Amino acid sequence: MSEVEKEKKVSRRRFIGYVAAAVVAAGAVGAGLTYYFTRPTAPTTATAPPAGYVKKWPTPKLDLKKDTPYVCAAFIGLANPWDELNRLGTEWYCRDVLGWDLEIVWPEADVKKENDGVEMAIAKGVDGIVACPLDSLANSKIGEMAMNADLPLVEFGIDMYHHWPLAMYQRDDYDSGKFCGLFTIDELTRMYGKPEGKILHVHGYRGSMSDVLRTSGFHDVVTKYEGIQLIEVGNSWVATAEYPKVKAAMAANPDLRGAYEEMGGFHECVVTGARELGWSEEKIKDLICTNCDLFPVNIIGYEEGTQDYTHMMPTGPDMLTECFEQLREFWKKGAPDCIPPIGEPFTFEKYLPEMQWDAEVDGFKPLQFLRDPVWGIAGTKTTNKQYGHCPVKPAPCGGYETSWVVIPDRIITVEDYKELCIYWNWPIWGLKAWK
Amino acid sequence: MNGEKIALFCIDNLVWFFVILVFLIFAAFTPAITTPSSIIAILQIAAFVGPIALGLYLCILAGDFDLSLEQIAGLGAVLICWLVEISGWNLPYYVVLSIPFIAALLIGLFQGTLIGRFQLNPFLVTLAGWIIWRSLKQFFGGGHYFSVTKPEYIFLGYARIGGIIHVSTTIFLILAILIWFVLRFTKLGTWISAVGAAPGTSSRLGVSPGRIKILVHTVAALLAAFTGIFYVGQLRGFVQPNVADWDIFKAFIAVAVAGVDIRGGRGRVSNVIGGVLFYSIVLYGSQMLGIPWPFSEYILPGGLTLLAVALLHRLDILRDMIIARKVKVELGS
Repeated sequence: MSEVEKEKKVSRRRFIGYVAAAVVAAGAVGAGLTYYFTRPTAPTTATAPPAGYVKKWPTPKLDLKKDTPYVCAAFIGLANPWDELNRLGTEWYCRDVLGWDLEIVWPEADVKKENDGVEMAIAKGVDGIVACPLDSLANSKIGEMAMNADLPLVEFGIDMYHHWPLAMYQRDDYDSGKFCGLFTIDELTRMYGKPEGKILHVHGYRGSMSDVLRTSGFHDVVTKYEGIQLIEVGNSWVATAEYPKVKAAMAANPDLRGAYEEMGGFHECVVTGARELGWSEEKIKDLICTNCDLFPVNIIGYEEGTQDYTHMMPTGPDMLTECFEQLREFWKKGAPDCIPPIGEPFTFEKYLPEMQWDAEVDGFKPLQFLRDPVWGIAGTKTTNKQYGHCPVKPAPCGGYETSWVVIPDRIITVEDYKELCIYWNWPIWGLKAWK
Repeated sequence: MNGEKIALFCIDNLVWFFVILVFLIFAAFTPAITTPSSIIAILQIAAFVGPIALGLYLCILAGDFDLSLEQIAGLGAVLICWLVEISGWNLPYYVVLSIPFIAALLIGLFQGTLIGRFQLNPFLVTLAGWIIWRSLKQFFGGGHYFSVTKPEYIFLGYARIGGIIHVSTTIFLILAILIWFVLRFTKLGTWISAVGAAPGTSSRLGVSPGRIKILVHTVAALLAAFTGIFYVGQLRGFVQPNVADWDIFKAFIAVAVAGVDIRGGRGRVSNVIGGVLFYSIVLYGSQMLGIPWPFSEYILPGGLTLLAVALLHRLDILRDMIIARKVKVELGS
């Protein structure tokens, strides 16, 4: 074979190779796009269990009169105030107030570490588990391990796809988004005559439970108005990472009328971005800025007149106090008598009667705040009709099996949602954390 | 011959064609990207990724790389905030601002010594470093959302010179020029490239690869400290403990698009600046266009980088062919 023929053959092979590579690449892109647009959404409502299914419950093995409970508390282990405060709340209530033995799992946002930590705690002989799964699916192994060890499990913050947990305690992110949406609509109407214009929506980490709920709460309100155009940016909870994106979106949309910020620090992104783009202070103040958090930057925003509304929900070391009381009730009464029936609002007096109301933090009695709460209890197909202003949603993961307990910081209605209120658990616990 | 020179020039500076091309494409769809404020914003993004990319470039040029640079940057930012807000020590600002550099110097020397002197694998050493420095960052920053508002701390990341270009952008460009000067006009620059291209040969010629590696890792860490200080000022002092996480990937994109040979020994500083600008334009432009997030965040930057790297790989072969032919002709004559 001559050199020329060889070269031709090589060229032909190369050509075929390129074509094949292009076909594979196009196929991969096509498959990716097809998957993206047709992907199944995470179940938002659970289906009823199959006929003949019998729910298994853990067996109460502890005699509270004689034994001191030894409890594992697993956090997501992120270095942020939310999680730090949850840990402080746990240490205070479980260890200091109740006098129980505590095993803390702090996995530093590592899914496997959290599973391993709980496994280790079970091996050490804990009597019960309180957990915030990092990943609803991957950490459902915690439910499996608890079930195999016949240990009671109570969740907080994030739910898992497992039927074993007795109950799930959660603050209501959806509520935050909803009231931010309502405020935006009210302000647009007041300032411009009708609710229309561009609103910047700065997302947290997409797909996380908090982002999904904060987004759906806001969207459920504002998407009813055709004149509102949402400009959506962001994909993390790190303000410094999202700042360039926010600024770019603002540069492309100088006629923005509002910004919905899913995290406290995003307000600084909006304000700094606007100033960097040369917007006048008057224009920045006219921007309707709503936020799901109340960080120091948001307080600065209020002082400067740039932050118009915040509705902070997802904090609460008090969630943990309820989780431990839930375990106590389980050891006293067994399941399912210890948990609220799905769909029924309840009171502390009825379901967690031994709550230590007078326990103090630095001379302050934080649990007094919960004296007269209205809780929503959700399960499949139920909404809290009695308290229509408290948006209770079907449990997303545990579904039919798990009581999903929504704990508002305080009961806020469409009539009074603009009133100033103090979120007790943030400054008080925050001060303790920041000492 | 002129044609070959032009071809070589184009290949060597290809990243700038990418930069111009993506800029023009975005400008066609969203003309607002050509406004001065947008260009300054793009330069500011470049200034934050830039020092880490320069550090990574130096390591790669010497035949190594450093995954921990982003954490060194983040640790620097958190240390400043911790010293100002938590420690209660009331140190003067110049002492506080020097702490990230001291930390970076120690970290760079430590990692560089492990890699250069004890010949440990750079990937594993800097991966371990990534974990350790991140833990330290969270130890100092855990549970706090800092809000450092004193102007002396936010000046470098926030202020502008004459109300136009950011101080951070200017510092990045000065750093790039300094590195270019060292690599282009000093023996040290030649040694760094030599160690990356052929460590055995350079060793026989009297250059100590170990010392060069200690040096580049230390300089890279010091460069990362600049990014940390910039982050303190970016949002007027608002800093979270996870600041700078994943920035190393942005730096890798910039260096890859710049055509820096991942095996060491070859690559230009000017192209690294081009790579950083490429990344910044894609990030900014895609957000301006309002491209849906899975595409703007992942698929577009990833796909464009892959395309650029594939093209650069083919053109590298072409460049080698041109140079080989040129050498052949010169030897023949």
